[in-house]
Order: sequence, then structure tokens, then C-alpha cells
Amino acid sequence: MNEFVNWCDERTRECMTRKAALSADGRNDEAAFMQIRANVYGIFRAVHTATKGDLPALLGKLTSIPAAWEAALTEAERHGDVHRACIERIKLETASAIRHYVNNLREAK
Amino acid sequence: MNENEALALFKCLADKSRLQILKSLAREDMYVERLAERLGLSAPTISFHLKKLSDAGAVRSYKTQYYTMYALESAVFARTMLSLLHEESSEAEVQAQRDEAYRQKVLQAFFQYGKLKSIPTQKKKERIVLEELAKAFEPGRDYTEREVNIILADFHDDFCTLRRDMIGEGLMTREHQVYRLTEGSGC
Repeated sequence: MNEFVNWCDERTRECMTRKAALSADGRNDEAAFMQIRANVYGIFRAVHTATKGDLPALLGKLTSIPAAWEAALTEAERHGDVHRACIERIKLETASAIRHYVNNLREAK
Repeated sequence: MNENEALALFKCLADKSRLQILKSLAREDMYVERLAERLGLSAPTISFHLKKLSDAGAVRSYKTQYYTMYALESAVFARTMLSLLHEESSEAEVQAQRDEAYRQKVLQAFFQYGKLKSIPTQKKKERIVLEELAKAFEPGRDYTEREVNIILADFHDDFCTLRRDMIGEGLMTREHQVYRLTEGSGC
């Protein structure tokens, strides 16, 4: 259980370091995107804790939660909403990275 | 360029990535992937910045055979800072701009992709939303209740509340089951 939590914490720290660097470099929107990535790690860390480390349950949530983001991305693209689409893509990319990690973790066990 | 437009432009320019994009476009017109490669950013991030720059009037786009090219809106940058400072705006104009900015903020908060997310509880905000909905009706035309419902249902499921509130706010009149936009309602 701790392995996933530690990994999420590590990714979150990375995101926050990069966010601070981007802010200091005057790239505020990209810094905000980094915060979004950190938030996604936070969401699935919380899900993992709530499901008491049950990896299949976490994988289920890693499918159901991003489904709503996928729908939001489709909707944003349909309406030419570049800002929203960019945010949804970042959330989906991050969820995909988490899913990849959890799958590897599950196979290793 | 009015004060709000100038503010929007300056806010948009206050970002290093966008300045880098503008610097690149000052050399030559470019397409998204070329900018992405040049600046080491992802194509979606470049598209995001270009949209902001385009909304602020700093860049324009045009289509070529294979690509959508982006170009600097030179006229905007040819203006001097001094000319912006010398531009005068009357108090009425400033107030109108403030009102419009507030209106846009409310509309952005309550509408998403043309649908009403929720009916505002605050009277002032609901009025703005109802005025926006009133634009879906033709002035001078008579509507049956069913027609009004169908039009309002396109925006929100609770079309009954919207219909009643449009009457209550004086944006529409109802006589013998016939609905009509109120003349001079500003819609």
C-alpha cells in the first residue's frame, strides 16, 4: 500500500518543484497545469487510501473517473474550447501514467 | 484599443512562453508544430497559448495548403505605450465596460457550451441570464407556451421556472396564452 502512496507523493513533489520553477520563470499558465497534474496524483492517492490499498478497486476508479474527463475533452473539442481541452488532456495523461504504474505494480505482485 | 482590451493584452503578454511565441512569430509566420519544436513545448500547450494570444488580438491565423499558420498582429505592437496612456475614455464608457465585463463574467459562470448550468439565485445574476435567454426569441413574434418551453428547454431542464421568471422580470408578456418579448426590453 505504501509503495503507491510513496510514488504519488514523489510525483506530487516533482510537480510542485516544477510548478515553482515555472512560476519563477514567468510561465504562470504552465505552472497552473503542473498544479493540475499534482491534483490528479492527489485524487488517486486519496482513492487508494479510501479503498485500503485494493489495487483492482483503484484500477476501477482509474477507468471510471477519467471517463468523465474523456467526455469533457470531447465536449471541449466539439466547442473549440482550447483551454478546457488542454486541462482535460493533462488530467487524462496523468491518469494514464498512474494506470501504467498501478498495472506494473499489480503484475509485480 | 479601450482600457479593457489593453488590460487583456497586457495580462496575456505577462507570460514568458507567450512572449517567446511572439518573438518567434516576429521573425516569421509559423504553424503549431514548428513553434512547439522551436520552443521545446508540447503542441497542445502551444495551441493553448496561441488561443490566448489570438483572443487578446496579438496574433492572427490563416490557412495554407497543409497548415494553419500564425502571424503577429503587427498593428497592435506598432502602437506606442504613450498612445495607450493618452487614450481617453469617458466615465460613462468606463462604467459601460465594467458592466459588460461583469455581464460576461456571469454568463461565463452560468453557461457552458450554450447550456445553462444552473439558475442563479441572485436576482441581479438571474436577470443577466434571462436577458441572454431572451435573445433566443424573435422580437414582435407571438409564441405559444409550448414553443416557449421548447426554446427554454434547450438551455435548461427547468424551463417552467425560466418561463415564469421571464414574465416576472418583464422580459416577456403573456396574454391569453400568447407569449411575446416585451418591447424595449433591451433584447
